[in-house]
Amino acid sequence: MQRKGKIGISVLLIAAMLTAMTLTACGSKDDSGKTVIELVQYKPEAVDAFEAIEEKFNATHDDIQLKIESPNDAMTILKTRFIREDAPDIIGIGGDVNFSSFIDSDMLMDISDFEGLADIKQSYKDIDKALEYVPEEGVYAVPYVANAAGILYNREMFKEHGWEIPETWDEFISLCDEIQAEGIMPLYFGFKDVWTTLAPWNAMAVGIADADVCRQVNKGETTFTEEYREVAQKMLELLPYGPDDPFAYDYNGACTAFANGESAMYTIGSYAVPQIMSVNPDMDIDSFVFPVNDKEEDNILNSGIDLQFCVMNDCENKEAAYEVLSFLLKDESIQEYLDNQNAVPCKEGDFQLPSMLDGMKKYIDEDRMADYQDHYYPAEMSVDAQIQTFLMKKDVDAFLTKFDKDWIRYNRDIIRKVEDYEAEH
Amino acid sequence: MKTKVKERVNWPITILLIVGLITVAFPLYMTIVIAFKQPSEMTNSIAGILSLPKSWSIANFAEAMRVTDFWRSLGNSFIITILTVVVSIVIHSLAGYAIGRNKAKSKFYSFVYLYIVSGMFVPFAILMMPLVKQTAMIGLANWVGVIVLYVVFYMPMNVLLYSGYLVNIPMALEEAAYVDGATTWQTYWKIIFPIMKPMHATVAVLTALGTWNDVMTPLVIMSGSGMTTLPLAQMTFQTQFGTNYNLAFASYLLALLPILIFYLVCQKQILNGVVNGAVK
Repeated sequence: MQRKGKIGISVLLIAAMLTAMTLTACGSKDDSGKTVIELVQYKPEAVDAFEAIEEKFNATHDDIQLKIESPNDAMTILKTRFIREDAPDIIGIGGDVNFSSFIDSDMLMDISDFEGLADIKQSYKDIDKALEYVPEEGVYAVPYVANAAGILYNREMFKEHGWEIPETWDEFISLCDEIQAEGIMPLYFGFKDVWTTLAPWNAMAVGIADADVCRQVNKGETTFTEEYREVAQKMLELLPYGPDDPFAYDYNGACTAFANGESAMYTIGSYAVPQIMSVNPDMDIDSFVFPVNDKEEDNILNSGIDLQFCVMNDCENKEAAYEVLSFLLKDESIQEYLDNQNAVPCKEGDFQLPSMLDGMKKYIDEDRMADYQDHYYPAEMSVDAQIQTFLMKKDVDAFLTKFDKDWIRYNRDIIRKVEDYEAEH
Repeated sequence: MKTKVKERVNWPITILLIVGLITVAFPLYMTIVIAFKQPSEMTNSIAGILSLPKSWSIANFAEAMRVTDFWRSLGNSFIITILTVVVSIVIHSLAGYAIGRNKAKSKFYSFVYLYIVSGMFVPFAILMMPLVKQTAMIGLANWVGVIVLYVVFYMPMNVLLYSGYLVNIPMALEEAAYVDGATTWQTYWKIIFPIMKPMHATVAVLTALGTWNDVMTPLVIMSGSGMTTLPLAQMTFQTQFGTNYNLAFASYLLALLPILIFYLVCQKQILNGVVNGAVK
């Protein structure tokens, strides 16, 4: 009998919980007749900046209500929401291969009539254009902020020893020798996390190879063996200046070591600065462009779009979405974001850049930038792992041959698309 | 003079146990130490990694609880786990009883048994996308849908366990109940259900552990419904370019406690149950 009572109570409790939950779930609709614009952005670390922007927007707009969500693992969430046809109005994503496939699937709205685009730096618009598998009519994203990759250095250490920022490859190598001669490790690597191999790789590749090298290869005009040989060779030349076993440390470990002053420089992007500062909050970090060429004027800053906004095709209220975009592009909003995160604004204007970009400022002002080449590599090819293997085996020819062979294997669909396009035009 | 009886030590076993202890205790030590350290105390040197934190402040735990919205996420995890376990025990034990007692004499039941158990071999990854779409279509893209999915996913395993355990329960008990005038339903609830207690504990532990720690199902099914479970909330410590191990480990320790307590309680039940159910 006692057992029966217990079961009865459990059933009642479950029923009570179910009703309670359905009640709370129903209370979130906005009945005031405002247009609700939903924005999902993929950088949860910037949640504070976006909450401030959301609050300001809603305080100044009576007819539109902006809802910004910054979920964890937003890309998975976005993709599942697309599957169940419940897309938000605006998405904030990076300029990477996901963006390319969203355009390819006709999911994004052409926003070429949006006025704010006029203020965006041309090189970032070019980067977005280059991300399309085949050239499409129209504009599909507003670049918002970018990050920059090159070499981070310990400014205090450089001042103490009187070291200068190198501008050519020879200067860079002799600087590394000089630092090593003083008993300090010049560079640090965290190649245990394979993706970190792409940081120096990209930063050098933009200086050596053309920005649209992947498209050239897809068209069959050149091969990676030809274009990437110098990059691969210079990559190997870096190794002696790093820790004895660069594959023993992961990204976090390398950031920690650099923060603790174990090395003078670290080949990574500006995105690593918050992680480094969390270990050593007083550190004075600056960065410079990877001096990979023999002449300074050939060097190019490696900068990619970190966050851009796209309006979805399903968005019902285009004017309201544009109003949100204009608000996001206001100087105050961008500055709000820059104060919160270390980033390079994509909009023309006089913004206060974070101090760790001092050494790159010239390139940013002159608009001398090119995108990360790995944004064009298909994820399933895992180029990062291939580079790691190459750095262990040190066989340039084998690496480049495999690169070319795998490229054709993993890009068959895209190459066919490019071929069709070329045949038509 | 008394001679001390020399205790004999089984050295091979002792060494094995010590090694086992180290492999369990060392990661736990690291977790606890890192959870109390500040990010600035992190180093790459062995001595630095093993050292104790400078101060034993609970600031990390407080911050981790704030960031993950701990009590709400914990509550959500609790609701989903408890409901899944309760529903699983009731439905799966019933199914296990019906199948286990009949599969020897009925082809239909042995087919049903094989059909359900073969579900174990279907990985979640290939079901994910259709499930996302279907749950959205029938309005189950929320925590209720997650529970329904869990109950289905754990069914093959649990039915296998229950019907396997029934082999150890003598038919004589049910026959005796039948002679005393009990219906099948009464026999089940009054005789079989209580006797299967050790298996209930096993099923509860397996199901609860799996449900409590799962990230993928809530992530793809509940995304956008505004409800997070603890593992989902903990993903916030790892962003694309940074991981805060100190907060993350503090949060993992907090998330570990409820399920650890649950396991300790149920483990006792499993051990007790071994002696139950014998016919005298």
